[in-house]
Amino acid sequence: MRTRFWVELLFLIAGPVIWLAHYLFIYIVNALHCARRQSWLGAAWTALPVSSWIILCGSALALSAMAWAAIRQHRRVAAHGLPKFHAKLTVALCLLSGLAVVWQTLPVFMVSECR
Amino acid sequence: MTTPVPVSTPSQSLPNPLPRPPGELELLEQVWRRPRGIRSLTVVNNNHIGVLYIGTALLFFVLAGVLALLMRAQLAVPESGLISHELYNQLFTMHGTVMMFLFAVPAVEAVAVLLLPNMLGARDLPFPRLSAYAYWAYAVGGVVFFCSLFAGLAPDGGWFMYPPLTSTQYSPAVNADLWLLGIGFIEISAIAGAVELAVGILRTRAPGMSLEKMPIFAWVMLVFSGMVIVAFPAVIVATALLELERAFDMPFFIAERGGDPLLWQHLFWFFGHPEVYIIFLPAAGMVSMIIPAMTGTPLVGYRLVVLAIIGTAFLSFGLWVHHMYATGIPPLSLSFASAASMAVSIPTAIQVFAWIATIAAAVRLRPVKTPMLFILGFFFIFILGGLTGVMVAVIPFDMQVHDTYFIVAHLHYVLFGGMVFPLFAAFYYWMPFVSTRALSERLGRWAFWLMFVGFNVAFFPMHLTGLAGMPRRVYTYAESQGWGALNMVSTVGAYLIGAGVLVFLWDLARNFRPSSEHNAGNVWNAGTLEWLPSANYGLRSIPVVTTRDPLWDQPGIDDDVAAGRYFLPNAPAGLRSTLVTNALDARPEYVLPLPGPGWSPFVAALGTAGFFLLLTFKLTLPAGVCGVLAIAAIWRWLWDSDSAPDIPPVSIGAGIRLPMGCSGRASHAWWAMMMLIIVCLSIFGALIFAYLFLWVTSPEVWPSAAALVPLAWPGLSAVLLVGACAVAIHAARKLSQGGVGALKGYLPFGMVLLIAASALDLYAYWQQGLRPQESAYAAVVFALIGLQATFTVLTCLMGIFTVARVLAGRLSAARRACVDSTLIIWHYTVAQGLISLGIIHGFPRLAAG
Repeated sequence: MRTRFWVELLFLIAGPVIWLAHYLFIYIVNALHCARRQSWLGAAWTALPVSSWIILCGSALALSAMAWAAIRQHRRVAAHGLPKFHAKLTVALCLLSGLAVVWQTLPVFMVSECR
Repeated sequence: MTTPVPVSTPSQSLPNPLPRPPGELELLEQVWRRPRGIRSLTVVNNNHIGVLYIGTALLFFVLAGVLALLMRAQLAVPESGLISHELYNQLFTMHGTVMMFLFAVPAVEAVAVLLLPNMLGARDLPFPRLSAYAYWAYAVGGVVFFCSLFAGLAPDGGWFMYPPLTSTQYSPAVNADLWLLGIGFIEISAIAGAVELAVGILRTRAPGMSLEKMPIFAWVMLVFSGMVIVAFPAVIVATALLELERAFDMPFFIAERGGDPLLWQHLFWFFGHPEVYIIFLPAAGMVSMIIPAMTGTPLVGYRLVVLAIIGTAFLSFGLWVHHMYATGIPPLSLSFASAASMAVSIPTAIQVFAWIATIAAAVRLRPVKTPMLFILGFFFIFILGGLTGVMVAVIPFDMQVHDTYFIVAHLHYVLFGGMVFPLFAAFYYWMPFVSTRALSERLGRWAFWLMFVGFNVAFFPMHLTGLAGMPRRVYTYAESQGWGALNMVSTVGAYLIGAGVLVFLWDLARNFRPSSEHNAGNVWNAGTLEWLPSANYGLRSIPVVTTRDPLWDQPGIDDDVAAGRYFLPNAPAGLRSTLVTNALDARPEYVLPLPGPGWSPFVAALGTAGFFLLLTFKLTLPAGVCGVLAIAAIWRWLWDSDSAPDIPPVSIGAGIRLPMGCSGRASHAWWAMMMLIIVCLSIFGALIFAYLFLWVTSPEVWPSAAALVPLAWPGLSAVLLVGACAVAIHAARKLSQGGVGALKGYLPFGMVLLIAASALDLYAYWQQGLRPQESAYAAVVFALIGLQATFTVLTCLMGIFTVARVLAGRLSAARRACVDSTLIIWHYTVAQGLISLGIIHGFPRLAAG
């Protein structure tokens, strides 16, 4: 069965695309917090500032999106009769990207935000 | 149109029968004949342009290497007076710049231009004249750029050209402008090459070569192209902003007026770090091709290697901040980059383990041949560079060694080990593909050992020199600092590398006899398609591929291809052509007529190079003449394209008849335009980033809502833009209904609306009293308006070209690729204009509110 290349490409690289979006998002959130120290982003809640909570939520969202993409691609590959290589590539890239998201989120608990 | 292709091809059921009709091969040879004499400048075949391209890149490698040897001679002893500090500054700037922009990226693109069509089973790349244009622009521009050194005008601000050192205040001479304009347009040449390679890989693969059967080198070049398309625009924007600052005093990087020098670093390194992988990944791809051939074993972990290539490419975009650890960025933000820097070692390690596993599974390895020697050298050096990479990813360690010779050692271990050694392996490995004889094994061993020993003798001590505190980019040092002995050892090593390169050049002189007709052939018993018998026309016929290593797994394929038993064994309609297949599973869709030799790409390249280089010296009138020459040549070049409907469908074999050419979304032109749109989006995105970054760092120069232009102005501009879009849609609809003549009225009217929208926005700010020199805010607003104006001019040029084709009777409902391409850019310009209006007029109101 035929499938559109650009949709397929998006599923194949879903993991790293989500990772990149997550990376840019958390970088910007922390940068904004540090540039505007008096804003609501800096308000503390249970030992972490709001900006860090937003980062944690972003990470949870990114991991969920990767899981969704991997499962959906599995079903698509079966439904469209695509090579299993496509499903394996998506899942493996989601795993690698998920690891990178977790690895990048850990410093939130260990490193001070702005100085 | 998609056509079923037999998945298995037993010899008796091949697409075309024997004997082939008389005159078929002669016609094929005739249409693909290489031009001779002065007309050899008009050559466009990938197998000729590719060799020229590689030769030119090698020339720049040697020239930049000579600069390095001069620097090492200066540093050999303390307090040396051999070279002045002014010249030393130019030497290290040119060494880095030439190696990165004129050697490394063009070299890997060049290898791809030469090899990919054969590797994929195509006759040529889909836009041969674009290859020729990209090559000549690079060659002419690069040589002039390099020669600036002899006039003392070479750039001297370091290969990354940080402001404020490179601002007008500290670098008033044209040296910096030469870098900004010279390198800026060489990047455009790299992007042109990347678009062509990506379309070639996705659309001209041999039937049956689905994604999981693509050679790894095709995968890496596809990923490479994506990275170039996304990363290079960032540095194009950076260079444009710095040049605007230098030429018109627009203060993007001047802190006193709300600018920020760190903006340059963000933009530069968002390009600069992926650049490292843009260079490394193709080299790794070459390694993944060479090791299976040398070991007689398919690559172990093909799927994991593909995963690693894609993963590395993406992660590399998250590493730009690790070049900025010492700039005062918040620690948590640095930690994100640090984590990404460590994470990227995972996919890189996957590749290394896959190579080691393939070697472990070797069925033939001894005697170790020269390409394999270079690969083993690459392992040793690159892995050491990777380990020091993990060390400098650790922020406290990096703070200690920042800007010292430790970093010089690290980056050379990564780049020389990761790119130059695989490239030399590739030279030795693929030489029989382009030459009548292979290079000498004996000289190859000499070259390898001299380079390998020389490299380690030169660069390993630099780790120690750096830890001892020697900073980078100093032209001399005091004897009392105790760095003399280590530097002398490094200099000796550097000259040993030079000796190794000389041996290689001697080997080339003795054994390299270029020929695409009578090459030495498959001397390694490799398994991929580029080793099939080939000539000027590429493969005699285009095979059906059922495995990743067809020459190993499809017995007799070489004889059958050479006999013309597979697809398209002829030159339909007496034209050069290649088979276009679909992107996912490579089923034949249409036959693409290809252009032959022509002067237009060469003249267009000269015009482009002249425009940028003369502009550097503020020779506005000659630069303008060159610009017009370039546009006229490109016009001439495109005028003959899209001739498809005049030719009836042609038979390619197996009873399949395919159209000659295609329009709409299935066409290769549409795919190239989509990639161009991604480039445009990246440029626009980088400029929006600049706007928001400057707002974050300098909110004080942003105006209050009351001081902004009244909303009626952008409202009117938006209406004009939407009107231009509606006119274009209506014109396209009329064309589909056969009303070609309607374009003559609609398109000019739409162009007037586009120009009016741009002019109105500019006027609104001007009459409000805003001037681009006032502040970073004003500068970036005018930059966004300027970008929109640039796209408006581009769209109008394409619109005028389209109308001219209507008037000349070269456009119809069936022959509409030109109007389709124009409308893609047209709609993009409208969309960009609307978003730009929203940001310029909406964001300050939101931020103030």
